[in-house]
Amino acid sequence: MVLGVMIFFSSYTIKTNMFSQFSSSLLPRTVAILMFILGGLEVLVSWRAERTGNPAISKKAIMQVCISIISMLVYALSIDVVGFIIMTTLLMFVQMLIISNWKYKKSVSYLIISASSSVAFYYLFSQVFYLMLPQGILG
Amino acid sequence: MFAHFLTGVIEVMSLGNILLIIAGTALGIMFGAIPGLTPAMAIALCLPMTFNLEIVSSMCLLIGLYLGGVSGGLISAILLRIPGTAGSLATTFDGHPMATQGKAGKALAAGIIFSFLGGLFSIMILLLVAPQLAEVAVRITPFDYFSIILFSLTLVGGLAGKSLIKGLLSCLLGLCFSFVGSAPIDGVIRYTMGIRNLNGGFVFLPVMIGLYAVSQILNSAEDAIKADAPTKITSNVGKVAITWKEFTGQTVNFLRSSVIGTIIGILPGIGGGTSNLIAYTAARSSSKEPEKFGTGILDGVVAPETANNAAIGGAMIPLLCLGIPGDVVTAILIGAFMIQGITPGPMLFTTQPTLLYSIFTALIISNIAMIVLELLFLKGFIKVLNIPKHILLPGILCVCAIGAIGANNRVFDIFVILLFGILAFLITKFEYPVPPLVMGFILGPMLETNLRRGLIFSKGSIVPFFTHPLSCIMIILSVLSIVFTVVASNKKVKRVQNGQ
Repeated sequence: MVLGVMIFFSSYTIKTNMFSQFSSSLLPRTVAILMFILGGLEVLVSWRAERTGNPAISKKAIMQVCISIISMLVYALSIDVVGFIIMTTLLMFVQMLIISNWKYKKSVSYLIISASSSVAFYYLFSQVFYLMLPQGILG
Repeated sequence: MFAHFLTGVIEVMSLGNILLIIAGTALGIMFGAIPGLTPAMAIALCLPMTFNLEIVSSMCLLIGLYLGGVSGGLISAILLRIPGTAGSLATTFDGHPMATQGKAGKALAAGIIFSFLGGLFSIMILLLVAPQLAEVAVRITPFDYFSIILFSLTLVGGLAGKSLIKGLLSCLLGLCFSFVGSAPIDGVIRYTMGIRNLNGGFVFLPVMIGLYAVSQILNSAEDAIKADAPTKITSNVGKVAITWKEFTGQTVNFLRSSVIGTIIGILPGIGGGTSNLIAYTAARSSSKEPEKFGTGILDGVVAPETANNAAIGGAMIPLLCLGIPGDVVTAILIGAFMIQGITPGPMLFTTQPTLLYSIFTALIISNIAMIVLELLFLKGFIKVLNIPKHILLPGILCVCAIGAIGANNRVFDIFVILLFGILAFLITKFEYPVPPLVMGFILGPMLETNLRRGLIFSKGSIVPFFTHPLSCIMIILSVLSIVFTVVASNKKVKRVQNGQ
C-alpha cells in the first residue's frame, strides 16, 4: 500500500513531453492505484486470517545473512579500485566460511580454491572472451 | 523449390560447417548452463569470428550458439535452482524439486528430449508456413499486443502460489521495476532517483541473477547454522532416463507447449523468456492434478523446456520473413546478416532461397547436436551436485558477478544483483512468489509501449482495445482467467477448511 502511494505521488514529478492524456506517468499511476487496492485487500485478509506467524529466525541466522550482504556490498564498492582477482578471492573466501558455518579448520583450502578460481575465471573471461574485468591495483 | 532446398542442404553438409555447428552448440550449451552467462553474450563474443567466414558458415556457428544456449539453461535450472537463461525460469519450479528428491537424471533427460522435440516442431513450422505466419504476425496491432500481454500477465495467477493477492502484488512490483529509466515512446527519464546508471533501466540479466542466484546464497547463509543443513544440494541423482510410458504421457503437454512456444516466438519482442512461463501455467491449468505442480513433477519440466526451444523456430520467422528481431539474440543475428551484406526480409525468399534452406538445415543439425552433446555429457553435469554447497555456491556467485559486469560493461550491475537478491530473499520470507515479479518485469515495457502506442493511434480512446477482434478475445480471456483463478482459489481454501 505504502509503495503504491509513493509511486502514485512520485508519478506527478515525471516530466511529460507528449500528450498529457497518455503520458509516461499513465501506467505507473494505474499500477500504483492497483497496488494500493490489492495492498489494502491483503491487509484485510491477513487481519481476518488466523495468525499462524512465520517461523522465527534466530539472531545468528540474521547475522549470517547480514555478513553475507555486507561482504557483497564491500565487493561491489571496492572491485573497481582493488580489482577483480583480489576482491573475488576475498568474496568467495568469506562466502565459503559463511555457508560452511565458519569451519576455520578448512580456511587454507578455502583460500586456495578461492584464489585459484578467481585467477582462472579472470584469465578465461578477459583473455579468451575479451570481457573487460576491473584490473585494480594489480593492473 | 526442391532444387533450392537440396542446394541449401548440400552447402551446410561440409565437414567444416558441421564442425562449426557442433562447436557453436557446445559453447552455447556452456554459456546457457552457467548462470550469469547468456546465449546473447556467446553470440556477441563470437560475432567477430564470423567476419572472415562465408555467410553459410557464419550462420552455422551462430545458430549453434543460439540453440545450444537456449537449451543449456535447463541444466543449472534443474541442478541448482538458478535458471541459466530467462527461457528456463519455469524449469526451476519442478525441475529442482525433482533433483532434490533424487530424480535429477530423470528431470534432465526429460528436459533435454523435449527441448529437442520442441525445437524440431518449430523448425518444421518454420519450414512449412513461415511466410504465411509472418504475414499474420505483422498485422497484429498495438491494441492486440497490449491485450495479449495483459492476458499473459493475468496468467500469473497460476504462478501465484498460496495467495492470489500476493501473486498479483508481486507482479505489480515487477511492473514498477520495469518503469525505472527511460520511458518507452518519449524517452522521459523516471524513477531513477538521480542515479545516471539507471537511465537505461534495470538490465534483465543482473535482475535475474539477483532474484535467483544471490537470494539462494542468502538462504544458504541463513540455513548454514542449522545442525541438519545439507552439505550438498542432493547426493542421489536417480536413473538418467525416462520410461516410454512417461514419454507418451506427455504427448498433449508437448503439443500444447510447442504451439504456445512457436506462437510466442513469432510475436516480436515477447520471446522465450515468456513462453516457458505461459506454457508452464497452461500445463498447470489444464492438469487434473494442478496442486502437484511445484512439488517436482515431469509435466512441469516438459512444458517450459518444450516451449523455450519451440520459441527459437518461432523467433526465426519474423527475423527471416520480415527482418524483425523477436528477441535480443535474433537482433544480434540481424547484425550478422548485415555484416555479410544481406538484409533479412520478405525479399530473402526470392533473392536468397538457398541461404534460407541452409539456415533451416543448420537449425535441424544444431538441434541434433544439442541432444547428442547434452545426453553424452549428462552424467558430467550431474557430477556438479557432488561439489559441496559451500564451494559450489560462492563459485557460482563469482561467475554471476562476471556475467553482471559483462552484461553492460559496468560494475554498477553488481549493486543491482545485490538489491534484487535481498528483495527476493525478503519477499519469499513473507510468502510473496518471485515468478510473477519476473513476469511483470519482463512484460512491463512491452505492455506500456503497446498501451501508449495504441492510445496515440486512437487519439486517447480505449474503444479500439475492445473492438479489435483479437484484442477483444484476449481481454475476455484475461477477465475469465482472473475469475477462474479466484474461484479455484476460494474452492481450495474451503477444501482446506473442511479438511481441518
